Amino acid sequence: MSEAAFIALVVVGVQLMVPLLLASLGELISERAGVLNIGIEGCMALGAFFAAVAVTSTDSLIAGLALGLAVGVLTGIVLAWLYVGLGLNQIITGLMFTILALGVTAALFERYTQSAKGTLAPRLPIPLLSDIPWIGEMFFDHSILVYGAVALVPVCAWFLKGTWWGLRTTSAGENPSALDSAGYSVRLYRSIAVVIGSTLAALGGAVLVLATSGRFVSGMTAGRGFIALGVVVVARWYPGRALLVCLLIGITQALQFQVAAIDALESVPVDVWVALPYLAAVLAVVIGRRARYPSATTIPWIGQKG
Amino acid sequence: MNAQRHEVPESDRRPRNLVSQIRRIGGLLLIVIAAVAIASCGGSDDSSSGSANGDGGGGGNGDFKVALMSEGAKNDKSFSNSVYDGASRAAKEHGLDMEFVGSLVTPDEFLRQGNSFASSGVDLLMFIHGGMAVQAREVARRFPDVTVCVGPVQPTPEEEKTDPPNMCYWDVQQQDGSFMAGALVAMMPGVDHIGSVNAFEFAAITRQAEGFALGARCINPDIKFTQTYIETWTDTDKARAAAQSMISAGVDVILSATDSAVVGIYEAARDASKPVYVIPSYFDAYEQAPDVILTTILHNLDGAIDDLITQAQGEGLEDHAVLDYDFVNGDVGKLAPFRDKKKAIGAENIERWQTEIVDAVKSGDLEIPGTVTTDPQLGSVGSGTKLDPTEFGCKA
Amino acid sequence: MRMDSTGLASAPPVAVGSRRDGWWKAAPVRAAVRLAGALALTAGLMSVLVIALGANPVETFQALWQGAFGSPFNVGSTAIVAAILVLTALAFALPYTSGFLNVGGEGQMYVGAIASAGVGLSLAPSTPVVVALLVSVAGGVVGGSLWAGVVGVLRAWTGANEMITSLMLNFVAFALANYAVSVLWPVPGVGQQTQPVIPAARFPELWTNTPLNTAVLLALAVAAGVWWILRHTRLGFKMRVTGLSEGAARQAGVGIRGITTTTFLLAGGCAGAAGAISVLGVNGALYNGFSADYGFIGIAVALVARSSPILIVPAAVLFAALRVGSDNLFANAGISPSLGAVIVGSLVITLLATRVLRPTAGKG
Repeated sequence: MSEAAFIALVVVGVQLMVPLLLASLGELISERAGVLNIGIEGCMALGAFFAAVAVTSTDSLIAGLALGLAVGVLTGIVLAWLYVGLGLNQIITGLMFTILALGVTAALFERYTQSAKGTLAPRLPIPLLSDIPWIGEMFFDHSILVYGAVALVPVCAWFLKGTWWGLRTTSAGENPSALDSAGYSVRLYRSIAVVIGSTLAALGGAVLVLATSGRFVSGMTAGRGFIALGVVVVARWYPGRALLVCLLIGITQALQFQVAAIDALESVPVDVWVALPYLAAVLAVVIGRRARYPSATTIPWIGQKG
Repeated sequence: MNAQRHEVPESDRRPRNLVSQIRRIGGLLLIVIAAVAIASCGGSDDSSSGSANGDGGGGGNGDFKVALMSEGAKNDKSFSNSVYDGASRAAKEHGLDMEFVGSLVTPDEFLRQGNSFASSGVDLLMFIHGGMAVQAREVARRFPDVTVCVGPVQPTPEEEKTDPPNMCYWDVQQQDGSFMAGALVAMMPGVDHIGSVNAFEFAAITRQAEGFALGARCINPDIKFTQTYIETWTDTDKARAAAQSMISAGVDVILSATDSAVVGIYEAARDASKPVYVIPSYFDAYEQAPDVILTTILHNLDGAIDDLITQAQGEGLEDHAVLDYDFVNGDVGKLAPFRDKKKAIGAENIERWQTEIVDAVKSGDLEIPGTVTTDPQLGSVGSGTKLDPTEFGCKA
Repeated sequence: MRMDSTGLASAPPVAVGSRRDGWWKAAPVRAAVRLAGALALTAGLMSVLVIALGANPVETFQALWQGAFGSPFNVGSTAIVAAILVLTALAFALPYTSGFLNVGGEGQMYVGAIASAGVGLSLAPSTPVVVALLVSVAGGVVGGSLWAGVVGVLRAWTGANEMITSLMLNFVAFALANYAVSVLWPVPGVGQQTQPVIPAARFPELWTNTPLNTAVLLALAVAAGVWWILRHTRLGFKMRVTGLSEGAARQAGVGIRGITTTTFLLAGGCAGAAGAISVLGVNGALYNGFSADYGFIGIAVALVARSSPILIVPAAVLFAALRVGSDNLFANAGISPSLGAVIVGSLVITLLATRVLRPTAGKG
């Protein structure tokens, strides 16, 4: 593989990774608090659609991100109420919510046509760093959306490990009775986590749209939300590892497209490349040690009021 | 999750008193109203338009009902959009009652929708999905009074023998358009490597990509051709990634043989450091990306559908009808106006293309192969680069 | 009347809800009233949603009902979809009973479909129906079984989290199906489906001119078989014990690795049978994208039925009716399929919230 092709591989991989990374970070926080949100695909789709609506009306990247974020918060509140407030079965509710959200976005898509806009998030090469041969082009010559998403990784890690709020959130998932005994509201921390999770997923959807001409296409999330569920486990609920896993998946996905230019691999059926990222994830799970969900995941908290 | 069961006692789960019950219900109501508020913008009116009973237009045939079922949405700016436009036009012109339902996915969904329409009294039922011949046939058998059409696909000889008479097939020879587009592109100065981003590997898609390659080789037999199958109609991110990979390998013009995912390809083209052009299909998408769209292969899908419906409501279709539209008889493969790209293509090239290619196809001097008529078949991967262009009338 | 030590007469204790003390207070009556109230609330909320979507609630419910049960064709469609859902629900319920989360039912169904299609179209056309059908279905069952077996083995011997491996293998299965359709057994000039299986390999029709065929018998038989295994065999006992507490099971001498593997093999067999029904009982060939998320809906079915093979059958019918019924919404109530999905999703969530449906608690 030529040098240019290899660099292109990583560049494309990094770009592919971003929506998945955001969704994974969101789900990670939600699960740490003990809520398994299978509705994450739905959150992504809603965030994507409304970001597109905002961009079509205002031509502004900020508006797109803002509306995507707002939709994520609203969706999160609804989901928190369903999962935590009402204590509904998380798996069924999540599945049904995804079906519902995909249906809503498809119906709205049929109703409102949008036009694609120009590049909203142009490449911003980081001065100096982007001049490093190889690495510069691969990692430091991307749009602000990419930088922002990657920047969120240490933020999430710090939130979970370095703030009281984050520690209590983890406790809500790992040992809710202890949290409750200490006088904190398990439900509150779980709800907040769900809202954060949904918001990040919606942002992931928004980025998906904003990075490709600002237009929403029904079905564009293509299962990323479900893959995020897997990423979170492989990453053992650590943001940093989630970044690595998403990058790995992004690059193996990019491989599928790079091979078109490599004649030697022409006879390999395309489906092998399509399956490769998922096989890689399976391998990662097998090699790693036993992964264990936070103890109280999916168990609704019924305690004293609040 | 650990494998511990955690049965919560029944009594703990029920709301204990009236207040919390009311709160629960009130909350539910609020959520529903919110969802409804959003969805109501997208609601109503999906049973569509086109029912212009007595709305002027020749011979108000207000009783003729046509229903179309497709995989894509009616405003996806691509395949289904074209079909919808053609059907609307026909419906308005003849005062027909037209229904279009999109976003159907599985074969049994198509079958049940078809059954639902047929039993509610439509006269013409169209399956807009080349893979649904079996389903179409079953509906045709169960409802002999309904004309059932499926396309774009051709029947096999055995099928023609065993089909019920009220069944019809339609096809658009998409490779006509992509062949001519390929030839045009090969004439452009500085273009020596072309590419195609394709959805799924089956004949109706493959013939487009291979036709593109063949047409380009008609002009420049040494031109390089790269293609990728992204296995999706809608994933714009994958389309962008595929296009980016091609561009970094040196591709100058990219054909889109996918559906609404083409939006991703525009993005990749814009991002490129050298000029890269995109050629979408079916729907004149110029406003979507005026900077990178060279032209659109129009396929005249809307014209074909319009013609079919007009025939059906007029004198009716004959038994076992097969309506095959190509460039010669149906303008399938017309290219959208070049607009500001004329300079990039070159005025003399456009003229050369018109006489050497377009007129030659119309007159028969240049014979673009059918989907299954050659060996290797144009519907099979790689045929575009294996077939010999001179066999079809290209100058060596 | 009895006299107690204080000399005051006290009436003998009367059971609440007995004929003497207000029969309407009896527990079953209260439960029925609660159910009716919840259903009424659900209907009310759904009507509000439908009205705001611009449709007529009465028409909508009618269309849903008609679509699911309104004609022999529709009843047949509902029955077949229910059969598929029964099997995919079992594919989740079995491992769930042993304490595992198998979300790979969709992929296992796909592999079963691939295998049964492959067998079904390779047989000689003159093969007798019984043999052809049996062999093709067996192929599907084995295919699905092996696919799930991978998950089970990985979990048993390496501790790999089965939810993730099964989830990821779904996508691999989709890719495999695409390969089968485009490369292995394509139909030249058409695409998106494989060559059809020989007619002898199709499930015989039970009710002429409808989709109803003997596949429903297969589904019921499998459900009965699973019930019997769980309740009346040592294997079933070991599975249930493992589900309650892996530690206790191990101490009791249960071979956890063996149980894990066996559970997944059985579950995959069920899902594989669902795939076989799709190919041999519905479409006649393997189609790309033939499943409307039946594997995932099966999970919902299993949870609603609390993993009981008996309850899975009516639960599957419910979800199948919703699915099939919503295909009738456009022609008769003007609601597009996407909005149909909105209605179905909202309906199930509302049924959950009003406690009409009571899935397994806690473990989710």
